Amino acid sequence: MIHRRELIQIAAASALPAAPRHFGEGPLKFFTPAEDAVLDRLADIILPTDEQSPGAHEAKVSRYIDLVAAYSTAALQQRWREGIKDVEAAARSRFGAAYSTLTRQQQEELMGVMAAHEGKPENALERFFEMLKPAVVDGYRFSEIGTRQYMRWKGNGGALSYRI
Amino acid sequence: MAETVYDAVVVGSGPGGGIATYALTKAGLKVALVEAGPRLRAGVDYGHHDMAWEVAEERISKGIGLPFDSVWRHAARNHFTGVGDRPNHGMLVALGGRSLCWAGHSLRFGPKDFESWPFPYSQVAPYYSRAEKFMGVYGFKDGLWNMPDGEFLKGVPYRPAEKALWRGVQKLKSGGAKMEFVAQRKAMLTEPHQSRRAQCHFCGMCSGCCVDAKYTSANTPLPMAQRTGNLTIITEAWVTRILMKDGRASGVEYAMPNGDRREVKCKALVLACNSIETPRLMLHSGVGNSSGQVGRNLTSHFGCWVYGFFPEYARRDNVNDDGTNYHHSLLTGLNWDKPNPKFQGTYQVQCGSGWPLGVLPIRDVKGWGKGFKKELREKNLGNAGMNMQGTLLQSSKKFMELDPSAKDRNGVPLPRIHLHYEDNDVAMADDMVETCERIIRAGGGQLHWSPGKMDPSKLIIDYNHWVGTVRMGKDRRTAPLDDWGRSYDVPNVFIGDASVFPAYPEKNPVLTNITMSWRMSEHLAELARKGELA
Repeated sequence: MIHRRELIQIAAASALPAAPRHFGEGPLKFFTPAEDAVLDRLADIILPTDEQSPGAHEAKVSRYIDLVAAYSTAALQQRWREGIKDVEAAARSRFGAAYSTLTRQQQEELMGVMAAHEGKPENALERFFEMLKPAVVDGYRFSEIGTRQYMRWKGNGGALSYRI
Repeated sequence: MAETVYDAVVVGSGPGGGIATYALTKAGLKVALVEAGPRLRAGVDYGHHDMAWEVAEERISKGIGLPFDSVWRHAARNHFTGVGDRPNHGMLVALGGRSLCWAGHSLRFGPKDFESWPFPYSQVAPYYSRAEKFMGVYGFKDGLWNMPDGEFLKGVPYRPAEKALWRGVQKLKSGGAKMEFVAQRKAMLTEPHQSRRAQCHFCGMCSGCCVDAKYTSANTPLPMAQRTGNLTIITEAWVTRILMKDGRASGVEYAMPNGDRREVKCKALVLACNSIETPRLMLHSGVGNSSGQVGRNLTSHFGCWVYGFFPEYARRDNVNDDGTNYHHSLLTGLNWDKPNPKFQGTYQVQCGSGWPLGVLPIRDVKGWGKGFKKELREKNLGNAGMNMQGTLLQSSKKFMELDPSAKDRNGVPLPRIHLHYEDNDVAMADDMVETCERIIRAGGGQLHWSPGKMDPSKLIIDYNHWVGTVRMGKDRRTAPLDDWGRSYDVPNVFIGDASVFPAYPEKNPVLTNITMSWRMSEHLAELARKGELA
């Protein structure tokens, strides 16, 4: 028997608009397009496309980070923003140009600077790497590309192949 | 209209309250079950085969972890205050309580574990058998003397990388080490069962089983209790006080969601709110504590993780081995035969491998770029995780009490949990880390991650396995309850949760909680039949 309150709940649930099925399908929630472009490239350098599977850019990892940041505390949002600014500043001081105009090789060189003391960061840029990398790995592991192509997970979503 | 007086009121519908409700209604008693939370439906309110990317925004926006659609998202968090080393206490406030979210691990306590209880294992064994048949527990007959075999459905074997751990254990055993490595035993259906619940389809999302293959109070005892016609369920009712009259409990007062208070009257009262909430209610109501032991003797399981990496599995293609959650295997049998000279008590290690739901459990690999990406994948394919579950030493430093100032929204003081890791706890964890490292190496693996030399900052309490706060005992000066789980002070008050455990082995509590609560409930029904509770 369905109780009246449950009927109301069911009605309320079915009235919700369909949510985007992938992160990255909606508009940016927190970062500016310029910030998103920096994050997108940083993520893709951490987890690039190789012969085995597509990388963080295709998996829209920066859009996952956008979601995380959008629902974070103001203090954490500030740290994301400051971190991207630090990357921009490093790009200018090292190469005299905006991050997005650097070659991929230069951007990778910069990543090497950011990751110089992984686990024991010594400055703001290195601390930003400590915050960025787990978020990138999370975004990738929660993405369809990360799950299905990178891990080649088969699972039991309708395919009941596990037998005991 | 005459006020209804129920034969029994059961407070809380978790593993203990669910089975008590079933046993009492089956015996013919009219029962009101009072549950603080709402009714949740498996597969509707929780438990979906959604992939992380499909639900990321909804979950992140609500602060819910990814990717598992665990029933834990309905949990009441921070319903306690803590003193000391990061105590933790999570409650699932819903019909079925934490039986909705438990991992299903169903291990009998053994003869040695009952040595400090008021009755021996042999008296409990038939109750265990009945509980296992009722719940539906899968497992293999392992023949271990202190983790006796039960009434098992077809067992679920462990995964490839866990076999490497088994190999390591065999090697250490041949060198004289005392330990056993066996497959897990869980309350999930692998065969048709009298409850007519669905069989497990091995999706790996056991903490919110969407098809009720896992035993919960909500899917087995409560529907059966309802069919007796003897049960009234009152949901979303937070019990705020035990009502007393002439030295006996006459009922409970509860708060409705809008804050209004109501009362429900009874001849016998069963508290099964969990080992923190039951003593809280007793202390707040000033009931049943002439021993001064309510809230004391608090213990739980605590632990840490060690990860091994087995290169032989790292380059194979993925296979479907989601199975039942992460843990498919168990390291046990440690310190059973003779105590470890370095610490009292013992621990078990729950082992698992693979990546249920396709999600990498291993994230901490150094570096970035193509090399990092390849290594991260291999470390996941070849991982085996070992999760220690040890018993905290019971001492005067671990207890719960009423918080002197913080109150919940009904004005009832919050429970305050005191947890301080002691030398014994740290020594036990040290031994565990050393043992796991040896097993991983003996099995041909490399150490991927280990906490190393132990200190309290590395230990975690995230099992929600608290017990001991309203213990049974032969002597009313040192225990609030007799050896059935009945209050010495208030003879119509009974306890149906795991707070009754007088001592705690390394094994998971729920099966024994259900067994004890069923035993207590039959005793209650017998007393009622004899007219002793009227």
